[in-house]
Amino acid sequence: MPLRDLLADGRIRPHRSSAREVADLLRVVDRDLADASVTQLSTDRRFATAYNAALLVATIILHAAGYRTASAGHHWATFHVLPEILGPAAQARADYLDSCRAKRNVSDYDRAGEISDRELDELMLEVRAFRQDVVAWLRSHHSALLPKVVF
Amino acid sequence: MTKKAGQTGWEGLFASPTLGRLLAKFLTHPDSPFYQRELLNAAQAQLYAVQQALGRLERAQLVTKRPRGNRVYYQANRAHPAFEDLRRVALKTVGLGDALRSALAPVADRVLVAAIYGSLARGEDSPQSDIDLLLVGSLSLRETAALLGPIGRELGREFNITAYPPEEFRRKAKARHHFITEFLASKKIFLMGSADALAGLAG
Repeated sequence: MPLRDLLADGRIRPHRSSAREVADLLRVVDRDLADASVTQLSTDRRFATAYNAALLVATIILHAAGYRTASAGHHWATFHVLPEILGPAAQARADYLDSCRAKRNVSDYDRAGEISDRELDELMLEVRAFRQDVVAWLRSHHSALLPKVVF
Repeated sequence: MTKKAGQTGWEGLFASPTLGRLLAKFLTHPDSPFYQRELLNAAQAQLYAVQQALGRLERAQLVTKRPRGNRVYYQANRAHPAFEDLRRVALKTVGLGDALRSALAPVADRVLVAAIYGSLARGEDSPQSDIDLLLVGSLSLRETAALLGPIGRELGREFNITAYPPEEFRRKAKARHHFITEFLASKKIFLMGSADALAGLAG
């Protein structure tokens, strides 16, 4: 569903971001990445935490592009619009993060122990790369939103 | 997935089961041209019945017939006004397993087992249910998600994909890890590999 339609039915709304907001979100991303590295936690919990970091990196992109989701629950829409904002090359990443969303829903509400160690490692690597990519993207597309302190 | 066909009633819609099977084949592989011999195998029917069914599909313009070299090829007609709707019906009933197998074909050599489990395998799924899919093999969740993304969007169904490397699967099966143990005991629809292959993996 195109961004235009999501805007029309109110699932996505216009938003004005700021360097401060981006800095706050990046701090949450970094906190979650650090927490997701705590090996005493279960694979499921670490995966859910790394997933939250991924969601917030995607949220930075959505906000920088001038939008936000109508409520905090719209994880699907946050990933769904990435290719439209970043270009079709982002489709594979959007599909991947959306599959992580489905896994995290099952693991948080339905079934424990389903997530494999390799899936966790894969997500950690992906989120770190995604975070670097978003900082580079902000620098080239929305430099005014780049926090003064570059993380 | 052929077992599900009876339950979901696709073939029951057709006076000729051959016609139903052929239509499902065309709808779930819309970009593949088939020659008669391939269709004979797919339909598991007599030549005459297959020719008759192909004639009907062609007259209904659901299938186009094209000579190429000394063979005649049949292919789904995407331009038919009901094509998209019929394809969705086919995917949701008989064609899901087939469609998933062909989506996973590019990584087939790295998949030891791919099986649907959960509510769909138990026949208790609703249109909103996730499709739970577990793969054992040397492939990442990222590449699996990229292959299945388009089908999920087309079906409006969400996949819950779990990808285990063989070593981790074996280790957790041995340790009687609760999810793996439950998965092994649960009802499954095998897309790739078999119950024997899975038992071998679990040791």
